[in-house]
Amino acid sequence: MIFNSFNFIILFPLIFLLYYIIPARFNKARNAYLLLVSYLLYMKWRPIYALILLGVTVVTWGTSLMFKKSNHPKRVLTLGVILALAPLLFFKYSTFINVSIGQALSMLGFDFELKGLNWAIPVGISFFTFQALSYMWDVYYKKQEPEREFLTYALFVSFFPSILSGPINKASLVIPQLKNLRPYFDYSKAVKGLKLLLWGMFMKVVIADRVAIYVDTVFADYESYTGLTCLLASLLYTIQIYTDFAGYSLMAIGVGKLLGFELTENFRRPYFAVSVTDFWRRWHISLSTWLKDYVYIPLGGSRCSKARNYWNIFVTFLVSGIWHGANWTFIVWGCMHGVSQILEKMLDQQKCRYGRFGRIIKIIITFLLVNFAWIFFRMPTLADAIGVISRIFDTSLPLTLLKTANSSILFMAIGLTMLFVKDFFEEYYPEKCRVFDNRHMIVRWTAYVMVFVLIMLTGVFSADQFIYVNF
Amino acid sequence: MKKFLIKVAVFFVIVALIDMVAGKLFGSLAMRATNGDSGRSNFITFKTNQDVLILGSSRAYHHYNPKIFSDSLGISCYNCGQDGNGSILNYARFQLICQRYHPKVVIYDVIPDFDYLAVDDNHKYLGWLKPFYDEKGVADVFEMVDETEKYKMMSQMYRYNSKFMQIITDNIHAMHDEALNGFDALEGEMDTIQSRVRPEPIPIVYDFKKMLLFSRLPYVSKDTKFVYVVSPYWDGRDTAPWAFAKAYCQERGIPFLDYSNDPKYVHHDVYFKDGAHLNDRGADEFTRDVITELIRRGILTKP
Repeated sequence: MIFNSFNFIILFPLIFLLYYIIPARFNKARNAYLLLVSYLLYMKWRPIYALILLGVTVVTWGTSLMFKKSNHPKRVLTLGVILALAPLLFFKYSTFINVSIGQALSMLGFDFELKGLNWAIPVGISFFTFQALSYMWDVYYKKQEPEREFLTYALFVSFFPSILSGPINKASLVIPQLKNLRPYFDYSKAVKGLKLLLWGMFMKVVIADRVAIYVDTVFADYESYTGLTCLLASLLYTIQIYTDFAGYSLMAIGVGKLLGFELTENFRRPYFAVSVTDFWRRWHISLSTWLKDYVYIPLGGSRCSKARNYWNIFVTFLVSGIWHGANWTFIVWGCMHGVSQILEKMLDQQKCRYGRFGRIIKIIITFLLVNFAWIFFRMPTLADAIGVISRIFDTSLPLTLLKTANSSILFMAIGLTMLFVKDFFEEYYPEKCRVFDNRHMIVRWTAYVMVFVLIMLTGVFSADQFIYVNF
Repeated sequence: MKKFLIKVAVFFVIVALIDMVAGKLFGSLAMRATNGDSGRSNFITFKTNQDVLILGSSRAYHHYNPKIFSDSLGISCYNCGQDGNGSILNYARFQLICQRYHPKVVIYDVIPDFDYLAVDDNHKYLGWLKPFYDEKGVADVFEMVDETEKYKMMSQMYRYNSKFMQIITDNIHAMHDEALNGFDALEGEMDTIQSRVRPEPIPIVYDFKKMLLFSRLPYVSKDTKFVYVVSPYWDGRDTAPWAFAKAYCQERGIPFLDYSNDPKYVHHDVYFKDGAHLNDRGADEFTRDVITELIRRGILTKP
């Protein structure tokens, strides 16, 4: 469910009230209700694709139960992984593989193209597939007991707040919450949930969707704009992708809390990172944890030779790039992050030991490196990404900026200032300037009302898609 | 749970009160605005009484100089073009205008993306209409775009979303010269960077809601002659996207003037500000050409 949609505003209070009508002692009934809601919401998009979600769920659940019974658990695991990954590979990567093979063969003088592979990608497929795979591997490596109740497991995979764009939750976090008797209603958790929902909504509609208007205008026709405009658009995209995705994650975690669940934290002020390595400890934490646990460590992690360790880092971020999409732009983006981290490790620059000024410099360098890589992430082709970069560095172009309405500039400035102040204090002075958690009720309530009013007056309500829903 | 629900209810009561106050404040400011885009929008909706009206997008707004109509023909003209808008805004505005009076001639500058092709989210075309939601016939247009808009418009803050700063400033200082009758001339010559490259053609996919409003426009008033015009482009254009408008006009006997590839303008930097917009010199020249053609066709007459 898209949290900033009108449907969500109407449907969620109903879902919430109906959920709490079911007495806490009927835990299974509550879970069954949430499972039904999750599937119905998923089916709102394309009903038939719920079969893929169900298929991945059945395969990973069944496979995990067979490990103990089978004499060849590794073969069972391999089969399970292949079957679970098959829909993802087919829907997300078949066109890319087909086109890439076609292009390679055409260079050799052969014409090859399989027609009819251009299917719509089931929403959230990368997220629920990775979540289900992580459970299966955890069971295989005996980090997690296999879940016997299908209902519980199916809800873990399809839980509606996180199915579209994560966070990618660990079974060890969510399944115990589903199995154990939850309190009827956790007041403080629900209040926290509402605060996250409010701030997440602010990040999305006040900041992300506002800056997106500028970014989309420029990048859709970058050849018509100056280098300075392209640079500003790239900086704003860096803000947009953070506020869009972190906003979504906060709303997902907030909705989870309103229903009494804890979901994985996904962002920790990533643009205050002092290195790219540090950035990945703060950005899309649930994915970077997944990649660490199921790619980096199985490859050998850092308990191996230096060369092998560098290779492991590179492969991990190559996988990250491929996970994000079937396009060379994502692969280059992933490789850039991998290479940056290898260089940081070689030069011992993963942490900051240069005092306050050095920290500021490292934060700025990291921000610019990440910003540069986002250009590849944003543009549809490598040629376009290089085109944007060329324009940024083209000194022959005039130093003029694409103008936008004064009111838009003001709304962007308000949103970005509030975001910066909040993130800054949370990063360096977490006990000071706690507006949403202030001990004075009047301060808290003024902040809630002010943020809500700003959302209503300055939010962009015509854009209802989140960037990461496309992955 | 009870405590939680009570607090949530209190929160929404506070917000509802602010919403009511904001609605009263911005509503009154919006209607009182005589300057800037808000003032222009009020004028178009409630005060136009000219013989000729220009409707369309930015290509209408910057391409037709009303002064040339009055100087050469002695008739009054007002330019109602609005940046980034098409049939949705123009239909709603024109039916509001026709509740007061019926202009003799409407010149509509066609841009397929805004008028009948499925390109953007149609919500963006409602922005200028929100303050007029309570006027007769406007709610129907909102409902056509999105059935849930009638619920969203219950919030006064939503109604003035993103526009309240402009409404405030439009009450303070003038941004438009009233003598220009709605026209905004783009000064300067062809931008050295922008839009020299012809945009990639987009697939022609029709938006039937926009198409319906576009087709209804000439029939809002029986007493108004409609003329559809495609104004010049620096690099010319593939006319395929205009085929619907052209066929529609031919079928209904509505004049359709296509200047998109007119050699007088194509690749002549002196007439353009950017690839899609004439500059002040180009606009004056083009306005004269349109007037000449309308006289030739007997739609307008010399004094």
